[in-house]
Amino acid sequence: MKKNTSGFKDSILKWIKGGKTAEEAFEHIQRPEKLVFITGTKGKTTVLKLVGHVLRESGRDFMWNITGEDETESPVSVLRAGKSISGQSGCGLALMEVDEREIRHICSKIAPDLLVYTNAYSNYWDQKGSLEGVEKGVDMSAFENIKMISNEGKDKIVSVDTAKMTLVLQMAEKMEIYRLLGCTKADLDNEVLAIELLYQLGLTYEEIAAALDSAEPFTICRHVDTVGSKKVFMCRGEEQSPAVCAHVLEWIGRQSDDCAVVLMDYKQKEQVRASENTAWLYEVDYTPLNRTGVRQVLTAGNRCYDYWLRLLLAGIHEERVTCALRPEDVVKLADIDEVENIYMIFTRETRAKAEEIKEHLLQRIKKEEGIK
Amino acid sequence: MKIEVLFPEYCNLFADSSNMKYLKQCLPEAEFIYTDYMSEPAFARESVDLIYMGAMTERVQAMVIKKLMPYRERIVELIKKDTPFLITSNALEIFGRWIENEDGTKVKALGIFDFYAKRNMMNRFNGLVRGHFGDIPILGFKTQFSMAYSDHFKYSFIQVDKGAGMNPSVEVEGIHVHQFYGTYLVGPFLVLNPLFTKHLMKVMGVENPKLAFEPVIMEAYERRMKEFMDPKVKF
Repeated sequence: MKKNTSGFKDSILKWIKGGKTAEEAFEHIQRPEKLVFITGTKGKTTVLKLVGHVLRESGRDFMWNITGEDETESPVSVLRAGKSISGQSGCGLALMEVDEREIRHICSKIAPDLLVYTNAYSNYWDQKGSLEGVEKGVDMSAFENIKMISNEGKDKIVSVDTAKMTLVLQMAEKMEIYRLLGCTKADLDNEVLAIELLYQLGLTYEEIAAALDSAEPFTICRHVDTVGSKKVFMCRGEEQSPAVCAHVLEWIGRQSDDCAVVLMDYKQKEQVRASENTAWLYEVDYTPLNRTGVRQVLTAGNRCYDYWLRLLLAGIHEERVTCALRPEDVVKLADIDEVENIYMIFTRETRAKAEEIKEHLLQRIKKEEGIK
Repeated sequence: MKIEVLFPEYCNLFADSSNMKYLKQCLPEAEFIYTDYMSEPAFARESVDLIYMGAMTERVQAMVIKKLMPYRERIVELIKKDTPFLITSNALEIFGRWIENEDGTKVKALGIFDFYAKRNMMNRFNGLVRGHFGDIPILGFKTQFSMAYSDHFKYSFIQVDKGAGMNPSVEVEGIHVHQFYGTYLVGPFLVLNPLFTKHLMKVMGVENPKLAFEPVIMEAYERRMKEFMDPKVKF
């Protein structure tokens, strides 16, 4: 007997043709007991991973949409699948990273119990008036009935000791000391947000503090290659994202080494068929590169003169800026004798070129240091 | 020389504040007055050599209209007296007749110039613009949720050679009346257009205007010009 598969076929075809409506995508979701959405322009994955680590360490089961180092699955798919990290169905807690451009729509379909908004500093709403990134005039009234946690709770921070890597928070009329996981402003914001969320999820100070002790420190650089006395750090920025680029630069500014910085966080695709809107460059704070140890800033690619001008406006001395119109020229223009470390800031689009330049830089260092 | 920057705590989107950062480098002796929203604008009580206002959110546009309405006549007087104004991005809409929302409701603006803006918050327009102001080539970027309309754009600032004007069907961009320069172009307009920056400094009364970081800004400008002249580049 032949199976009647036309309905199945129709739905598959509809899916392939993109015919599935947003409303249908939300059908058959079994709502967990507690649903948390984490959104914002920067820090979503960091906060979610940290919260996930603490929950795991304290023996809690949960669902989340993290699938790789920096990859996430659609929250709707994860909620429909309904499987927790331990493979159980019907888990009571779901933590979902949601793109800031989709948050309003998703909240209107399935409202979370808690909405965590990262990278929203004090007076953010007054200044921006709308969710940055949503950019469609959405005001906060869209989230009026949802309990929200944002960086506006920074008044909880009592002190930060970057030497001892500790953080003291004022929580519910008592002082609590935690391990500090990173030194930049964004790191601090992310850690405090994660702690606040964990409290809301019912964890105790002892559970949170103990799990933070075993957490991976926040890191900006993805990969470090050491050759002889020198290191080359690969740091990922994000195309045209002032928040991400500023975070990387702030981190470099906090180091105390003699270094060279290679700027390759431009939008390469744009240069093929259009000219890049460089307004974003002027929203990035380049002043951290003003520290004495930054001996050289190499600006690479088509945007090298725009970068150069931007650096001059940030007060970086002209003598410290080197322009490499052909990115490959970074290899010969880098003052490797003058520095201990080289930081390469790249993006998804420029990654391959940055890797290629790094390999040639490593070879040059080996040669000059007489390493076989 | 006095330069008044209006409401910098709000009117700073799309890196528009870089216009004044760059001008400060060009005119290190000038006094920059940053007037916050709660204060009375300096232009109300004294003469200034440039009034600047940059991009803001739609909510802030309504606030700024409310704030500037009592000074409408003074603004008209200053424009007639050739006081230089540089108004970028959607700050220009404050000086038009009204701003229309998608639902047809209107936000009454200062009504100094004969145009109105129409918002379409679900469609953000992004594009490049290449044009000229007299013999000065102008390059820039547009990123906006609204377009401007009028029966006539008599006092246009930029003749558009490539890209969209006040709306996609017209080839003129911005408003230029006396020494009032208003444009939808976003970002560091003065940084992107060093020749216009020189012109602006002249109308502000600088005898021998000098560009800050001239060799680098001209190199960046020429490079961008080359890109904008490339027929492959989409506007």
